[in-house]
Amino acid sequence: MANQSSDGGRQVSDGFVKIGYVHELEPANQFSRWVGDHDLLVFRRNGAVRAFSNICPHFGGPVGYHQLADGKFTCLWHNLQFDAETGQCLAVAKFKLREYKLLIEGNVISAQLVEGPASE
Amino acid sequence: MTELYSKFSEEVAFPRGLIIWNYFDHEHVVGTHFEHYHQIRILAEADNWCFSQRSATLPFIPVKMWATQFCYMKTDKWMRSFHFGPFGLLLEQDFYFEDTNQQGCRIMVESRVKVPGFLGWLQPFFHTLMRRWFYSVWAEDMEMRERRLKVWQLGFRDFVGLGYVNNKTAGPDRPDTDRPYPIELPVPKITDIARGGVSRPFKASNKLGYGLPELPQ
Repeated sequence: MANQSSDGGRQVSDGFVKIGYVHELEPANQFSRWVGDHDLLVFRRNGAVRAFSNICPHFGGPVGYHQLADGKFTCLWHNLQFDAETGQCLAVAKFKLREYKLLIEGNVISAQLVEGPASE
Repeated sequence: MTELYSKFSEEVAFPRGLIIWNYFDHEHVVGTHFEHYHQIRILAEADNWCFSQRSATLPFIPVKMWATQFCYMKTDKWMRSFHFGPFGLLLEQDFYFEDTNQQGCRIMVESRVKVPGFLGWLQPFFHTLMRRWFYSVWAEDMEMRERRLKVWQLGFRDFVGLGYVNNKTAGPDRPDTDRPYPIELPVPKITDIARGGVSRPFKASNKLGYGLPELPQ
């Protein structure tokens, strides 16, 4: 079982928990949401739906506050930019956004919040 | 000369250290407040003081205005701020922080500016301007502080992030609502703010906000 505090009790299967719906990506191809103790930035780009952590490693700002532009997310607080393909910060090499594994079934988007041994 | 004066106070559910961090995190001025501020450069900074140059558009005055600001902590509960604006105007502000409990405080802001006597009739306008400016910026800072406190209580480490997110392991059993928030100045900088200064990256954006509401359990 996934840790209860991490998924807020929304587990669907194999550690995946529901984080939202495909229709919530409209109209910006992007949304963010806290699910338990995780803040996820979900976006659709080149036809693929992906999810990064929405928490900037700098001071914790919201990476997905602004809509994706020119292939980059810009954190609201201090304007650090992250490549939408890799999650890599363009200014600070050691900053990289975690990517979450997603499961999409119909309209429901689920993410694997915990991948380590603690999820067994 | 006569003095225009404004005073107001707010009580918030944030520790004093977080409020002061917010005031001394000058880089967020062109981030969080990108709709008001255009540019900022730190001219000098050390310990508990900072001297900066900034440009902003104030309410009711739709032109870009430059000012320099010097702020310092007179005590750990009293911040003084001096804004040097156009026409020799000097806006003096005192911010008093009073702890209401471990995770809350009250802020009282006093603002003063000396003007020629015949401009005394501007007093109501000055108070309205100060209030409008304060609450406009305040609202943006409130969301920032709320989020900062949330990630802090989840164990956030500056320049690292959340360990359980990075390591893909289970998170904390519960947020540590008693985690102290120390006052450590100056706030570490990450941009070119102390050399060339920084500008807002865009005048307008498609703002999606701090996120959708959490899903019902």
